[in-house]
Amino acid sequence: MGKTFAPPGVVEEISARRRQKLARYPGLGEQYLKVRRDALRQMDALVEKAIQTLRAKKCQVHLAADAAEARELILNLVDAPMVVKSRSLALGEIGVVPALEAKGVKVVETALGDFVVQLAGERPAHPVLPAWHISETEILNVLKSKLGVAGDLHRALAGVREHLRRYLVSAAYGLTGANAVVAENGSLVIMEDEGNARAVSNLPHTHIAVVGIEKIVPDQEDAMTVCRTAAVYGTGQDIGNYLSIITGPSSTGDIQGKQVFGMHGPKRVIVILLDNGRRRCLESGFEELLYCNNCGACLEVCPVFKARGPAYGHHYPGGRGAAFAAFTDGITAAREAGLDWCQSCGKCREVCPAGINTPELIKRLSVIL
Amino acid sequence: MTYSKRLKQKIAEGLEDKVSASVRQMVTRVQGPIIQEMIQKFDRAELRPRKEYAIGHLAELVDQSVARLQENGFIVFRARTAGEAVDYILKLVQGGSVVKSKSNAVKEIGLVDALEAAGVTVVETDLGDRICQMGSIPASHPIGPALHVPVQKVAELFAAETGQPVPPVPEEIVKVARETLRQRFFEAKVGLSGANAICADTGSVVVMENEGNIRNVTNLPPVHIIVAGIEKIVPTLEDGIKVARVAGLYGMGLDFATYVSVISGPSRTHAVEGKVVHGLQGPGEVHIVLLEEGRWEAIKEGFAESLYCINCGSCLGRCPVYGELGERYGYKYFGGIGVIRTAFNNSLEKALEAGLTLCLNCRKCVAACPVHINTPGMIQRLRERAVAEQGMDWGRKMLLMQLLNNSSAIQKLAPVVGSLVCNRDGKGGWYPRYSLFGIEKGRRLPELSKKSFLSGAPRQSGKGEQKIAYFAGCLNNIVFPRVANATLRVLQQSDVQVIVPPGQKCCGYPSLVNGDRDGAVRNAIANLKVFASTGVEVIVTDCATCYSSLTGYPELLAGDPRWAGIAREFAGKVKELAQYLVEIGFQPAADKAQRRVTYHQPCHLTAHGMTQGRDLLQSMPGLQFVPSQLEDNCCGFGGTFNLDFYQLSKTIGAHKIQPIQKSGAEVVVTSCPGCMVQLMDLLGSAGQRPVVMHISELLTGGGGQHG
Repeated sequence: MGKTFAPPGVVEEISARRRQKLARYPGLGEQYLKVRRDALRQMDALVEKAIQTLRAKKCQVHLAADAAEARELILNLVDAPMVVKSRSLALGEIGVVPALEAKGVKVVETALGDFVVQLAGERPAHPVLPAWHISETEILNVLKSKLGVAGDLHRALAGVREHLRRYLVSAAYGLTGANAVVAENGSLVIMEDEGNARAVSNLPHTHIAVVGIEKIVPDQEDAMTVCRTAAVYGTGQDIGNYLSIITGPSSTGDIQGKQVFGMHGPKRVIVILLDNGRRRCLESGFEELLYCNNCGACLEVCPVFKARGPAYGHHYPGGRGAAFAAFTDGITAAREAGLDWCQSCGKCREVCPAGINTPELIKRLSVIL
Repeated sequence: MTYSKRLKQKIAEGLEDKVSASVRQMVTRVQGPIIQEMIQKFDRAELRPRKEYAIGHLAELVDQSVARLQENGFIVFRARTAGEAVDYILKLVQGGSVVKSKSNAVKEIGLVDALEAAGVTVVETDLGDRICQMGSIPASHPIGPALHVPVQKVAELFAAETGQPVPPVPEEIVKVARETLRQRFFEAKVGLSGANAICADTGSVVVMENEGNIRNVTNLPPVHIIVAGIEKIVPTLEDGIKVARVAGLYGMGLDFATYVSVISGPSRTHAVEGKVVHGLQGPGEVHIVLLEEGRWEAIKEGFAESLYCINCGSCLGRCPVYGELGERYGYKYFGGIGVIRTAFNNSLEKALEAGLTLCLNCRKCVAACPVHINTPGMIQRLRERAVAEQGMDWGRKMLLMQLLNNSSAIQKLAPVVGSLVCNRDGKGGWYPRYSLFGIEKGRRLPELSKKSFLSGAPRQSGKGEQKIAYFAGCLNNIVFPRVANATLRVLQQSDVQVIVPPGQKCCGYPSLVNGDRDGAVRNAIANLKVFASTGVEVIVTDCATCYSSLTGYPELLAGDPRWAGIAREFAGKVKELAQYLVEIGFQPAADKAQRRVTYHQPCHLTAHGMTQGRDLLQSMPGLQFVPSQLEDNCCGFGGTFNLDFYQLSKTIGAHKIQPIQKSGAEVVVTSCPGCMVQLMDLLGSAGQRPVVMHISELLTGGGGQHG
C-alpha cells in the first residue's frame, strides 16, 4: 500500500479546477498575502484582543507557549473514555492523539480521509487529502475488514456515516482546529466539506479548539479571504462546503429571558491559542513561513514530495513543513524532516497563494543553523 | 367582513392582549439600550450600498446564483409563486418527520400547515418556537416567541413530552429539551430552514442563530430543504457575512451571532482518489427553493427599497403601533415593512387588512433600520393607490379639504357647530356628545377658536431690517391662535419684521398621509406662490409636522419641472422656530415663575435630528429643566391617526405621559401643536398636571392651558 503518493489524475483534476476558480477571483493571492502580512505585523495586539473577545463571548481561553503545555491542558480536561476529532494540523503538531491514546482515551477521527488513514494505520500524506496515497480499492478493503461495511463506495460510505454517528452522538468532547480566529468578535472559523467538523463542534457538551496564533485575523472579511484562498488553492472550490463561524457556546434566552448555555450546541468552548515557536519564527525574520494556509498546492509540484511523500516534512508536509519544524521542534527535527532535500527548483513558490519562497527560507535557515 | 372591520377587530384584540404587549415592551426596554450601544460600537454603515446594488442587479444575480448553486450540487427550484414552492416541497417530503428552524419564507408560503395536512410531522427546533408548538401557544415576540410563558408551564410541557418529571428551572429544562430534540434530529428525514443571505459568487447560503439548532437542522437529516426569497441574494460571500453581522447587531445587539454557517452544497468528500462523493456527515441532498412571489412586481412598481429588508426586526422594537399590536400589525411579515411586503406578495386589500392605515409616520423605523428603509414613504404611496382604487369617505374629505384647508366659511361654522355638539369643561376642553368625522364621543378635544388666527393676524409686525415670514399651519390657525400669537411676540423680540402672508394654506401633510397626493400638491403649490411674493429669506414655522412637510416639498414636487426648483429654494428657507432662534443667538428671558419644566420631543423633529427646542429650554435662566424618560417617544397623535384609531392612539400616548408625570414637572413643553392636542387629551383625563405649553408660550411667559 502507498507506493505512489497520488493516484493518477487527482493532481491534474485539482489543478484544472483551481485554474477555473482562480479566473473568478483575480488578485486573490495578493489579497490573501495582504491579510496575512497585516495580521502578523500586529500579532501581539491581535493575540491580546482575541483573548479578550473570546473570553467576553464566554469561551475559556489558554495561550499555550509550547506543544507540551497545550497537550497537557487537553489531557487534564478530558475525563471521558472517548473523544471525537476533526482534521487539524495543529492537533497533530501538539501530538495530542497519541497522548490521549496513551491515557486510554479512544480518539475517533471523523473526516473520511483521516478515518481511513487511522483504520489503515498509515500516516496522512497531504494536509487536505490525507488519504490520497490510498486507492479506492484499498479503502474499500480496509472498510470491509475493519468495519464490516461492504458494497460499492456509496454504500460503504453510508456505513461509515452510521458508524461515526454513534461516536458523535455519545462523545462528551469534540476536538477541532480552526482556519481562522476573528479578533474583533471572538469567533472561530472552521472550514470543511463533509459536515463532520460541524458535528464535532456542535454535538458534544465541550468543544476544544487548538489554533496557532498566526491564524488570528482582525475581522470576519479577513477570515473569508483566508478561507476562500484555502478552498480555491486547496481543492479548487469557490469556498469549502461548510464554514462554521462559532462565537461562544450555544445559548438560549427563550425561557423567561434567562440566558442558559448548552442548548443544542456545546455548553463549553475551550480555545487553546498555540505559540509553539511561532513568535520566535516571526521575530527571527522568518515571517514568511507563517503565511502558509495549508492548502497543499505546493506539494503537487514539489519533486521531492512526489518522490518521498509524507516522509518529507514534519507536522506540516513538504519543504515549508520541514523548515517550520526548526521552530516548533528544533534543528534535529527539521533535518530529519528533510530540510536538506530541497532542490531549489522554486516551483512551490509559483503556485503558493502567498508566494512563500521556501527554497530561500531553507537556505537562510541552513546558514543560521 | 370588510377589511376595515377586520382591521378594527385585530386592533381590539391587540389592545386586549396585554401579556404579549408587556413582553414586547419589556424586551424593547431591556434590549433597546444594549442594541444602541452595540450599534454605536460596531456598525459600519456598510450594508445599504450592497443591498442597493444587489436589488438593482437582481435579475443577473439570480441567474448567477442559480448557476453557482447548481455547480455546487444544490438542487435549485425557482418558484414563481408561493403555491409552486409548496407543491414542489410536498412532492419531496412524503410522510415521516421534518425538523425545522425559524424562517420567514417558510411562514410566508404557509408550508407548515400544508405539510401537516399531508400527514408530515413538523418539529420546531428553536426552543421558544418548540415551547409554543408543544403548548399551542401563540408567539408573543419574533425573537423570543415564548418569553411570556411561565417557567412552570414550560416544565409541564416537557414533562408531558418525556413522561418524566421536569423541575421548573431553566437550566434543567434546557437539558431535557436538548435530549428530546436530539432524538427528533436523528429521526427526521428532512431538515427545513430559511436563509439570511445567498452569496452569488460562491453559490452559498448563510444562516445565523444562537442555539445551534440550525446547525443540526442543516447537518443531521439526509435531506435539507432551504426556502428563501430572491431578495436574500447578495453579490459576494463577504456581503453575506455583512448581512449576518448586521442582522445580529440590529436584531439582537450582538456584534456577531453565536453561529453563522455558510453552506455551499451537499456534504461532500474528496478523500477517495479526489472523487466527489456526497452525503458524509451532512446531508447528501440539498434543495433550495428560490421564491419570487411579488418581488419582481415590487421592483417594477418602484418599491425595490422594500426588498432591502434583512428581517432583523430592529424597526419593530421602535414602532409604537407594533409595540401595542404586535404581530397583528402586518401579515406574514410584521410592522410597516410587513404591510408593504403584503401589498406585493398578496394584495393591496390584504395590505389594508394588515394595517396600511396604521403607520403614524413617526419615522422611528427609518432611524432604527440598518439600511434606512423609508417605510413611511412607501406606505404613503400605497395609501395613494388605495384611495385611487377605493376612494375616500366624505367625512374625511370634508375635514381635509375644508376645515384644515382654511376655507373661511367652514372655519367660521365649525366652532359654532362644535359648541353645539360638545360639552365643555371650562378649561378649554370639549367633549363631543356624538361621534362625528371619526372623532369619538367623549374624548377631550381642545375648543376650536371662534376666530381663526389668519383671519385676524397682522400682515406685518415688528421692527428691524430683516424681514421673515411666518407659516402658521392649520392647528394653530383654528385651534391655537394663542400659540401663533406667542410665536409672533417671540419673533418680534428679535428685531425682525414678521410677515404673515395671507392666503397660506395647510402644509398638505394631512392630505399626503391620507393618500391624497393631489391635494397635498395643490396646497404645496398654493403655499409656494404665496411665499414667493414675500421676497423673504427665512420662513419660520412653529409646528414640527409643518416643518417636516414644508421641507419635503422638493421631494413632493420632484417630478414637476415648473415647481421643483421653486420648491427647493423655498425648502432652503424654512426654519423651525427653535432652530431659527438658536441660529440668531436668541437669549430667552428668565422664567419668573421658576417653573419645573419637562420637554416632549416631536417625532418630526427627531427625524431631522433637531433638538434645539430642548436646548433652548435648558438654557433658559430661572427655569428648572427636569428631563423625562423616553423624551422622544411618539405621543400617538399622528395627524388623523388619532381620529381613526383613538383607543390605540390613547394607549400609545399612555406610555408617553407616564414618564412625563413621573418627572414631577409643572409644565410639559413641546414644539408641535399636534402633540399638544394629544398631550392635553391624555393629561386632561389623567389629572391636571403638568400643563401643556408650546415653546413660544413658555418663552413669552404665558401660563399655558391646563391639560
